[in-house]
Amino acid sequence: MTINPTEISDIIKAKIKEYDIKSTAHNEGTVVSVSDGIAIVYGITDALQGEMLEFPNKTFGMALNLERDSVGAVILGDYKHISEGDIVKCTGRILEVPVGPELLGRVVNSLGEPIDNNGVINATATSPIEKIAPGVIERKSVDQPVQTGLKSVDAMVPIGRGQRELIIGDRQTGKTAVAIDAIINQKDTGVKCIYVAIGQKASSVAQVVRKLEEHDALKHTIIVAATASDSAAMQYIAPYSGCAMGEYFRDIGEDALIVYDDLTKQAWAYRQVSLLLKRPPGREAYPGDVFYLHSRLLERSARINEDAVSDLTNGKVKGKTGSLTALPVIETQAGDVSAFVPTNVISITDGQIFLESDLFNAGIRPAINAGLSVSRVGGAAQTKIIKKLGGGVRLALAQYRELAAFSQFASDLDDATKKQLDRGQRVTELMKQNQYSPLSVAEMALSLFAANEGYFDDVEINKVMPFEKAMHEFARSNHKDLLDMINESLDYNDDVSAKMKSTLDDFKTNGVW
Amino acid sequence: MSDNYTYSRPYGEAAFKLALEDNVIEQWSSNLKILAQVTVDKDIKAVIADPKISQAECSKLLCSFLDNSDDKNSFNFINLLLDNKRVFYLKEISDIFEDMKSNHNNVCKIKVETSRELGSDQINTLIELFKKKYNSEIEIEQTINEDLLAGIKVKVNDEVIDLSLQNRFNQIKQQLII
Repeated sequence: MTINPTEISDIIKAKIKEYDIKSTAHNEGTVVSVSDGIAIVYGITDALQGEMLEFPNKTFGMALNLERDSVGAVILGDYKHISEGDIVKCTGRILEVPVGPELLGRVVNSLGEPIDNNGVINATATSPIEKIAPGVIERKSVDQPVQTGLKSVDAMVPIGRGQRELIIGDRQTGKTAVAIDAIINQKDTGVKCIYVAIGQKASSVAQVVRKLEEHDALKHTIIVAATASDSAAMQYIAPYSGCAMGEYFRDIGEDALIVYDDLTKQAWAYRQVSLLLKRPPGREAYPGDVFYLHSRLLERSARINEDAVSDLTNGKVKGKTGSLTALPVIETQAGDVSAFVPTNVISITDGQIFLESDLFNAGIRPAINAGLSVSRVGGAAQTKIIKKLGGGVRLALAQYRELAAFSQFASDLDDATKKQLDRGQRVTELMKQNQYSPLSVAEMALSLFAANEGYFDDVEINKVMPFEKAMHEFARSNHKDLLDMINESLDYNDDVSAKMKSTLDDFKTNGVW
Repeated sequence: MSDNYTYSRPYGEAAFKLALEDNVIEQWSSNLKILAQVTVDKDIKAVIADPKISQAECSKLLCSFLDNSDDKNSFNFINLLLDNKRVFYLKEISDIFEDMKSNHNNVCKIKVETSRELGSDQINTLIELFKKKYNSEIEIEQTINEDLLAGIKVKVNDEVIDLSLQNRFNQIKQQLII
């Protein structure tokens, strides 16, 4: 016979004392029809928009359409046991999910219920999934970086804490890879991560979980999964649930990073729900409020100031700012960024990382198009050293692109042009980076410095990556103090530049690649 | 079902306003009740739906069930419903008419569910209580439901006040499980 942990006499005693039995008054209605996860309910005249409705057998739904004599609701979860004539009760509450540090390292569904077979989650706090974003007064401008550990991102499209940076590209261009690398790189930074998988294959989600576990990145990460087999309603609310979990960390003065992978599928799920609710279709059959669907979600990613954190924690946390950084993912069809949802999300976010399948196939991974990728606020948050050194790389790449097109016509090139072309090719090569191998700021700085100072110029193009790898290893074993110093101060001055120069000279003469 | 009420509401309201103007509410009420019963009959339905039978004949047939079959307004009302193909919504129209009637008479209908039959003094106390709460005349409809075990469950429109023992047990059950 097993004893339930709740059967300890003290607990039972406490429970008896705090019995809170009320005679309840509630609003009731009856189910008129159920189809495709949508229930039409007659009655419940006092139902509120977005309110949780209780169906028989502890099934819950969300009221979405309030009409004259009926309420259209989506059923969250299985709906096969619900039939015409069933009683529906109003709960008077908006849908809530558990939040808090207890969820870290767990895989949950859109309602915050564990789906990883690791037992119940003893979260004490809950939070409504739909919340109003912080207002103007509570906000603070973005000035701290989120290091993704990817050279091409951190040098060219830097991301700040509280920023919304879109990752956009066709299928199979490495969108998820960029996001997962960013999560892995937050390992010892204190940034909590939330990965929201929407409409993906369950096997893909399992793979992401496994990879994060492998790189010891699961313990600071919450995975919210609404897979392709979950109902459209669950896929529709998953980003909001994930956002509520991220907001918890933002509001207690910590930093969090949330990845929505991907919002195209969420828009599809919302389109399905809307069409089934008989809302009129608009462009590409999306409902009229598909812009608001994403804008209200992404607006909740923000950096809030010390006063707001202090207010939200009732004065328990003082002098700390909180942030929620968002990396929404959008999948384009055949590179069409002018489709409805991509244009919407591009206009909402503070910049985009544009991934191209041509680059990917040419072996440039991450396949970031440096010309089209921008970060509108990240520059203010970039670390000093990367900002200083990354500028040269951007310029070299821009000049290279211009010359590369031009040089195809010219047979004879002057030395200066040739040199720029060579430099450009090497920088393009240098921007390549393997998956799951994020770099520290110091390593990145060393690579960028080497490129700027021409240390790569006499290296063969196909040797650039091995050269860089050997250089990092050399620096780690022989000049650890320099790397530690850069990682510590993140500053760039003559002293640092001289030390880097001597390190690189040392490597050139003594190193092997 | 919900859609039916939406379609029927304007007809019910119009009929009530007309009846109120002519001060023949009771007559309309009984007519609508009769028509509501008639139109659910399988054979009558078949006749109305039969394309070979003209609308004039249908309206004549329906009018023949009424007490005052020569009333012009009733005749026009039936014709209008036939024109707009809403004749099978007469049950809902009658329901809406009755709701408006009790509203007009300031009567509030209350459904009371108990595990045992209520005594007349108990019913009187309930009537007194709800008279105060809703500030209107009270009409009580009693049903017996032994699942409640004890106590009482009151339903007014969509609002449910649950004072039953069953509800309390359910709450205890939930609190113990969590």
